[in-house]
Amino acid sequence: MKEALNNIDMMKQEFSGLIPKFPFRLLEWFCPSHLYEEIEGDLIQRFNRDVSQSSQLLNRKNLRKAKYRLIWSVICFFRPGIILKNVNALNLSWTHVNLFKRDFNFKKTNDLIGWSVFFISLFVYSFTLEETASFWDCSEFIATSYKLQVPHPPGAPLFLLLGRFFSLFSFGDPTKVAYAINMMSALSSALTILLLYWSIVLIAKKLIVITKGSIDDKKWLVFAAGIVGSLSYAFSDSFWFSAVEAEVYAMSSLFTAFVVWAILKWDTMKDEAEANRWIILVAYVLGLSIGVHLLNLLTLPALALIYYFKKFKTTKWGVALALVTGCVSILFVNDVIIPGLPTLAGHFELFFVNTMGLFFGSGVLVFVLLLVTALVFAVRYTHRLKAATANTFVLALSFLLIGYGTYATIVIRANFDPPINENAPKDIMSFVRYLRREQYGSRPLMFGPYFTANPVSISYTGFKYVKGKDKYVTAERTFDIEYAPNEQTILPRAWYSEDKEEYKRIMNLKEGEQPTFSQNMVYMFSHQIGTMYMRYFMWNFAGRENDVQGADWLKPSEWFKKLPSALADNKARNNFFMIPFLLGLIGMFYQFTKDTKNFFVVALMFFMLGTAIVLYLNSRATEPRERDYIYVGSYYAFTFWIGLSVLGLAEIAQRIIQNKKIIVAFASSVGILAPAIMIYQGWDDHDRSNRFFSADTAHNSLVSCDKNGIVFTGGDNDTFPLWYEQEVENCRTDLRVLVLSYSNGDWYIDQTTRQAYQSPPFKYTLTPHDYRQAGLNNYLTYADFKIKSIDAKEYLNLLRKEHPSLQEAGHNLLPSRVITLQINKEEVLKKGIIPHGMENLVVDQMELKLKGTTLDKADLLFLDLLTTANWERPIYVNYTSMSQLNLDVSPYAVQEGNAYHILPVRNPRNDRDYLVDTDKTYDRMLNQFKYRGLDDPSVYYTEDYKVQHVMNHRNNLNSLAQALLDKGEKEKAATVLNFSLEKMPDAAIAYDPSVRDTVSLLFRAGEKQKAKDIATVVGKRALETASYLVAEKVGLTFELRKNLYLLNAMQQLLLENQEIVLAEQFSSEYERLIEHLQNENEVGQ
Amino acid sequence: MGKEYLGEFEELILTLVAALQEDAYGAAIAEELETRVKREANLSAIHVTLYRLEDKGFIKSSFGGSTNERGGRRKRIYTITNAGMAILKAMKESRMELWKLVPQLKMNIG
Repeated sequence: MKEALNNIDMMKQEFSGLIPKFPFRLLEWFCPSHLYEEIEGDLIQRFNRDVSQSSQLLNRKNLRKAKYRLIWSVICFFRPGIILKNVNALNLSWTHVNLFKRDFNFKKTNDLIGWSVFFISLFVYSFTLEETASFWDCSEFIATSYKLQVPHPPGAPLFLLLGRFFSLFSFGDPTKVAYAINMMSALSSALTILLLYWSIVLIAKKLIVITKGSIDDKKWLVFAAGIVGSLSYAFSDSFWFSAVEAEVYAMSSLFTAFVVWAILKWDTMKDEAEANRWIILVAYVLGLSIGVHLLNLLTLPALALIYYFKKFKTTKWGVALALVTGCVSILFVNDVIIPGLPTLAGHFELFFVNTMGLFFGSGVLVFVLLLVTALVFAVRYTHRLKAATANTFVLALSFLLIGYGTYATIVIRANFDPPINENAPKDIMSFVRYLRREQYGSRPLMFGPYFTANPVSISYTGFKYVKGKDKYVTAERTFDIEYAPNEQTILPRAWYSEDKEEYKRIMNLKEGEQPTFSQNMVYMFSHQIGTMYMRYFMWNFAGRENDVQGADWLKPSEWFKKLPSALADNKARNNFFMIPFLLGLIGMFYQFTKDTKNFFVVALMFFMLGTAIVLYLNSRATEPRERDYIYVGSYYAFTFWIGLSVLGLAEIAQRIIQNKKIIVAFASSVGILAPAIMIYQGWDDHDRSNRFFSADTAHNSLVSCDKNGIVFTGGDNDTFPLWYEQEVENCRTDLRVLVLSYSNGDWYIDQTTRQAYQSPPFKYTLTPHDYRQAGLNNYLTYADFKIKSIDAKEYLNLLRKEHPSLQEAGHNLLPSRVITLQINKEEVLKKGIIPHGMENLVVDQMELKLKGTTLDKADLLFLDLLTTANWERPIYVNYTSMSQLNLDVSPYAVQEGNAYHILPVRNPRNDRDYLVDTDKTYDRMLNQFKYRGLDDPSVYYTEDYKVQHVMNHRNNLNSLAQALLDKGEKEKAATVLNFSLEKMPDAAIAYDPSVRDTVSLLFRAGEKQKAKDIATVVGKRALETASYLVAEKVGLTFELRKNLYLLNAMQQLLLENQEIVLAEQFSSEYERLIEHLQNENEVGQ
Repeated sequence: MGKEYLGEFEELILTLVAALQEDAYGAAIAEELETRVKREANLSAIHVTLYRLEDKGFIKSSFGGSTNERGGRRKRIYTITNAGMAILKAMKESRMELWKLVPQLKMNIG
């Protein structure tokens, strides 16, 4: 009997070893330490009893049950009666302070503060979150996340998968999907701040010797450093910007912050085995991040340095070797693993399918099997050898590949033919091209041409393979362009021929002059690093002038300047008085003197995530938008120094102040000024609440079109929001949005031959064979065949027959500058597509003139659609695609809302840009369009809204009013103008150049007083701004020209309408300014 | 009743502390509750109640011994204070007073 009891005891002992540990970790975290022991004891006792409940019958089921019960019990302890025991200790009465110090050890306080900064930032981001799909790629990411489609190369599969998960929190309401996915960024960013806080604390702890035991002044300094640094990053311009929209940068920041924190954590570990596990975790996260954005790869050199400092005795050569290893590992992942493995798989595939004649996918299958087998073998072999380092390396590599595995979803989804399937990466060949972003072309890095260089020859490098019937067939040849050696250089920085004018301006070059190497380098430092990076850096830590593209950072000379209202009212004018920047310098200097090793770690991150990206990207001279968000990583590194400034300040204060508490208070309060001024100044221009116009403008574009229409767009901001509206909010899925530039790709044309939602497949005259990538029609250059014009149908038939007389050097030619389309007037009129009142404008034949010298495949597609549709299916172009088309369709464009319907009617007037279908436009713009929040002055609108979209709407309402006035419908015109002024008032979105027409039309529509009032406001404002700019001697900038134009326009309109007094005042001021400018110019010369 | 008030569960726990004497600690009280009162109570509820009773001054505590079964963790042994005993008695008496007011058996049903 006694023996049996002993046995049970022994078994109990054994089982107590099976107690799961993590519930206790959780408990320890929130349970006051003076209560912890007894509670833990009770739980263990209860667990042991549960396990042995039915005496000898110790089985797995019992054990599992006991475990669940234990976990549940621990969760139940998370209740006010326990947690508040912590807070009781916080009671500010002095008797409790000692208790508090004893109870709150360093770790717990650190955790608590970390989660507090997390919640503070999450709160701020949630309040300022965009409620709908933002402009630029966000709308695309939301649309593709929601239905797991294929976005532009190189894709972001993990981002999409997680985005899809977050979209579920819209609970079936499509209008909430965007908000839910934006929330993912807010959460990622807040987690970044949490990890940054912990990372700064870990770095700060290396500067201050911390003793075990109660929390003293030194520990408070460390906490303060973490708070100041992490919150400064939280409220920095670029990071905050990405935190409230669905872009990859927030999540990419999170991955970066995670690997940095993990390696700092690893640094503190004593147990080798546990430490190695963290290395594997870091590798896994690196692998995962490939599916979002590659930013965190650039931290590898800094990580290598930390590794080196821990493992080895520091020597000069050792540091150099560590850095080289770090850089090599970037190349290894970025150039070998990511594109290299799929490329290799592609070679296998080619061999197995084309040479061995096996089925599609066989080569990839064999490759994957070989790779997995090799990894498994390597893991087992190194394990058997007990080679810990090698084993860790192989495991890390395996986990990196597992993380990278999210990319498989791109190919899987592409094969389901979703409506958005960019580049259709369905097989390994197209997948590699997708991954390598081949469509974007490459830029020279180490050696290449100047922008002035002329191509001398082409060297063919190989073939592009595409999937054929039963094997891969060669499509186009791939080639490199070669330049004359004397027009090339090492480290070419000014290389992009289309930015010629910009380069000339920046480097002060004459026409055709090639820059010298030193000019090339000066350009790199002043423009690429200075204007396109340092300016952004200073925006974040010193302040910025405004949100107009090209805005400078706010220099001290600008701080107290009295500005004209138009400039002062810009919500993005943020003045930090350089406080965060100066604090950062203090922290940087302090860390350099006190802890040089870790200074280099932070400095390396600062360099790699900032300047190194600038050097690597070798950007063109101009960009379509400000790219400050690319470099958030370096701002992240800088905030370490802002945090450390607290320690530096304390050190300075120590020399003057004796009382340690006062020192802590002083250093912390000076430090906290940085995040405080950043959130105070930044709130109004980061608060995106109640702003819906990015989605509304897309909705408006869609409802401008007739049923089953085809809409050509230009890309980016006039396309992605349309995708969002269709894919997510189910708006007008009978329409098909076609991006003109994508239409040069055969994969895109192929997609139009399928049904998409309610939009039927397109009908073409030409065949897929004619549109194929290696075909004859990639571009059609004009050749003088001495033909006045060619009929569209006839031309298409000739192309289809591949008529030899049209061919030259493997390409078809365009034999005339004019393409005609015959119209059967009667038939067209019978179809009822001609707007009321335009019957007499129907033409017998449409004449489409060539704008340049060449038609692209996209133009051919447009022509084919227009011809083949035979007016059965409406074809629309928007403003951008109309200008991008190489055929001039503008005489036949009829404005309907925001879209232009191509119809066989010709605009008879030279003084009117387009015909307007007044009935449809009136109904759509006044009844169906959405203008949410455009009349709310508290909503923040950037240039993307004001310049592009609001002005577009104002212009379109103006042309409607004009068309109505032309028809003599004065009252209706006045209604339209008043509608425009009411929906998009000056108070919310200031008058733009479209106001010239508005005022002129108001005069014509008989609204004289209103016209005069507006002219006065606009004129005075323009005068104020222009006078300021002239006095500032900024030169003839766009802003100055705009204001001078408006001043002059108002003056003229007032004069024409007999408002002599005001007109003369404006006129004399205008002349005074012009005179001033001319004098200045003469002096300048 | 006096100025302090005890909830039903508090009263139960306080009684058990008084009954268990030297062996009154969280897990033991839970066990007693289960076996004697047939009441399944979560450990956390018992602990919170014990702390509240201690705050109110009805019980006091000190660390007791540790056992293997508890993985070497010490127990916190609770003992009832005079104030605790007094309120328990007062409550019992007031209950009895009230009980007496209840007509025990209603004979005049018919």
